[in-house]
Amino acid sequence: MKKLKGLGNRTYNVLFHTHTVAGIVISFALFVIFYAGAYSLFRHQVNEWESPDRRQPVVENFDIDAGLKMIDSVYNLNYHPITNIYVPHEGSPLFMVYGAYNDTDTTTKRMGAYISPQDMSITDTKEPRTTVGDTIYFLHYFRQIPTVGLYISGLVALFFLFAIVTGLLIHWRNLLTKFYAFLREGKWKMIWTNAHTVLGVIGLPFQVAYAITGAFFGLLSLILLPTVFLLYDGDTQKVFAKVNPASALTVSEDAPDYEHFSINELYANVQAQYPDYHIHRIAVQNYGKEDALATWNIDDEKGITSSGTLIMRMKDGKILEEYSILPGKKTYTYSVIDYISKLHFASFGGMIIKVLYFILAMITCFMIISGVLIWRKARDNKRYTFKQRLFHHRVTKAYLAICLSMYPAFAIIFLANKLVPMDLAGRVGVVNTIFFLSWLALTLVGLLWNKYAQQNRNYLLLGGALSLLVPIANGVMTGAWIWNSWTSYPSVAYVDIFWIGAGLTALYLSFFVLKVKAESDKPNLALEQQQAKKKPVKAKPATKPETEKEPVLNP
Amino acid sequence: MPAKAKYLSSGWRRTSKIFAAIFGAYAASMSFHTALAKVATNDATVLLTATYTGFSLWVGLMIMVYMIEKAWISWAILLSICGFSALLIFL
Repeated sequence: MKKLKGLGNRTYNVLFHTHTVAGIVISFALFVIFYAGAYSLFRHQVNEWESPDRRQPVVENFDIDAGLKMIDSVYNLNYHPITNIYVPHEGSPLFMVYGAYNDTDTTTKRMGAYISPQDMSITDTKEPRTTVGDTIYFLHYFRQIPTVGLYISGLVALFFLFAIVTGLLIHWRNLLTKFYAFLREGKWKMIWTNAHTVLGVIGLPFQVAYAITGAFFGLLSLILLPTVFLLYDGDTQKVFAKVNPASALTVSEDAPDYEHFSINELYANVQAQYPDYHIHRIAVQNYGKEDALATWNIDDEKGITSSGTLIMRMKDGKILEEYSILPGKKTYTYSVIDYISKLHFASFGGMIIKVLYFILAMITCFMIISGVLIWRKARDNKRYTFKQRLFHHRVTKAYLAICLSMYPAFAIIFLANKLVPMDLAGRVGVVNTIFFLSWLALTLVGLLWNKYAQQNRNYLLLGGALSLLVPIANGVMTGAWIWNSWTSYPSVAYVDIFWIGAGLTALYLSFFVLKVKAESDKPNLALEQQQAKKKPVKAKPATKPETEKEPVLNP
Repeated sequence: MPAKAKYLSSGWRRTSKIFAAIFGAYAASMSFHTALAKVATNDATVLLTATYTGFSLWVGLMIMVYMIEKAWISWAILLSICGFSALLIFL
């Protein structure tokens, strides 16, 4: 088998070590990020599944002016700051407004509320009744950890990039061999170690994209701060102007009133000019004054540069092209952030890309776990003291328990969403507590299992059984059995079908594929000494110190 | 099989390398990009490119620190990138 030219001996060993250390330090945090992130790709489907408010047909041509007036009558909005309006659309049937109101004479407060078109009831978004999708999404970047959560996730992404590049460098030499071995040879132990390398290379573009875009979202301030301070005297406004031409347009609080706006009319005009695009968000500024501005976010969700931002003065309703970002005609500067977000959120290419991303995220999770197992396997020998080996075993056991218990814990939060009554006060807190406590309990139980295969099998068994209950709970509690929801609310059906598929796969694996061997993975000193006595190891002939030319690459 | 210990640095050199890889590489990467933005005709392009190349160069320099055996050489390279960039930024 042809070997590629690899690294020198010292560099190889040093990078191997950094790869191991960086990998082990970030491993379980990275697993949580990828696992929660994979589910978050379908956040909108989950939102529809979890919330009874969202299960209603999308009203075409919702009266935006009347809706805004209704919300204004409750909150007494201050229109000078930006007011974001979300029009009902496929997958999000609610009319949402995020704006500001006068808190005192001099200060304003942000607000958010939505109208359910079915009964025209108004709900404040500060007290949502259900947050399954959001809880999972927040977990994806550790928002539950106050202040530093986002930065931690950014750092994990940065060191993930480091681990990817060092991993590629150290495995470079044996890459071809491993690809063949992975395809042909059936020994599980080898598949395990080769899979880490081979899947890592197959998933490389995906993982590099996620490492960089993830670092971008978590650590952007680290990148911008030096430049902003050194070149723009700390004025962030100047930087925003570079990426958003419309920030040059201003509105005045003292502008004369002007009442004759119809957002409905403007909406119809924009839609007529861009018939193939959806308008999901309208941002208005100084609404009700003569110089009112409207920003229309349009997107056809097909290509990676196909979104755009149209700016207009509402009084004449003409699109100001020099301040707008037209879809497909974006300059490099205006596209970068779009590229990064679309790559990260998979908001291009529709469902197929999201499913593909989900599979690649699961492959990455597998890689993280296999990396931990390789780390442990390489340290389970006589070169380490018994105490050290026990420590390696405990770390591995704890990592596996935290990571693998996420599957049943996620099934539990979906179940809790249906089983905790919708009108219970503070139910969001109850559901989230159930989720985090059951994740903790599942992790603790996992620490009692001393065989890694046993942990894996038991969590899959538990998760599989709970998964199959999810669509049943949904059907019993809301009547949306798959055969009912399939036609009226496909997103709800997708979520149920996902859980059935996941449940059946998990049960199949745990019953028919996974085999748990009899002996424990925990190092057992007494047993080993006994075995050593039974068959005394022949004294090995003195060998030269390990070969210099050819370091063993297989751990 | 774990990396062979005889190749790994220890003590002060190890600490020095960790600092160089995290802080030194960050400072070098950012000062390089800032200097580039300063001399470029369109600084917005550089600023936005830095949102992804900033991390890439950071990680690249991190690996460089470990590829070079002696920590002081890495520091010399990183600090000269910083110094050279500072000249471009402030002069």
